Amino acid sequence: MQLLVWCRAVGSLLLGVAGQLLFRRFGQSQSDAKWSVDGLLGELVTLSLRTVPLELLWLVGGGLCYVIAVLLWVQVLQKLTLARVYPLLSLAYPLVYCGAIVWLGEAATPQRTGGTLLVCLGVLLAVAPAAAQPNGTTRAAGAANE
Amino acid sequence: MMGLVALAVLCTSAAQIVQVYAARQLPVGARLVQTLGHPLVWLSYLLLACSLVFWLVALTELDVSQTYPLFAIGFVLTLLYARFGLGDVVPVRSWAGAVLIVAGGVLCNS
Repeated sequence: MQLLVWCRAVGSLLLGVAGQLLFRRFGQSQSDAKWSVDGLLGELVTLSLRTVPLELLWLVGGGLCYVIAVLLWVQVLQKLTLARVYPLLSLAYPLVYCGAIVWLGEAATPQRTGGTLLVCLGVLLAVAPAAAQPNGTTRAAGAANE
Repeated sequence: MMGLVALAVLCTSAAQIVQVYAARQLPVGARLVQTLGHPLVWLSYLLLACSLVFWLVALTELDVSQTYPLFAIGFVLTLLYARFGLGDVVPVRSWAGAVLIVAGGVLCNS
């Protein structure tokens, strides 16, 4: 049963990563639209009008991945403490990075590679002590984001 | 565009903090209906929805490989609030992790 829970946790991680990549893929398909922050509402209307089915697929697919990832995550948290399983989510950063380069054609730079690794290590370091004292601090920090 | 990313991160952090207050106000073992009916739970959903919209618009221009690490800074903001707003005990290693997260976020965007 423990194995099944960890499979769900990994599934949640991968779906979360896929969701981010799909959102960016959607963003790429919209990138020729002209944006201005002060006309945000107008731009959102334009965005929805410009959206053709394939592009909508990226957006809806990303949203679905996100929703299922959260559901799986909640199931995992019913079996395991956040302190045990949260470090797994630090892998989301390098995975999104690799996916963005391989699938979306984004530029890999030494700064981004180093920065992503630092963030991954930082999250690991920040949540690791929670195992010793599950007082709700990191529980609050990690609950909704992923 | 970076302003939108900042707003998205802030909204996510705010949503988590609102959820803490919601959890404190709700009775232990609250029913799903009770939880979904709580105004603070709605506020957290609203904040998350805003965050998602800001994020989606930002992603039309910015690389996800550059901006996604910035979401970890939301973790740092929540940590700061947990310590100074809620008075939670935050271990030294968490602060060290927070420093790495901020350094990594800055490096990705330099």
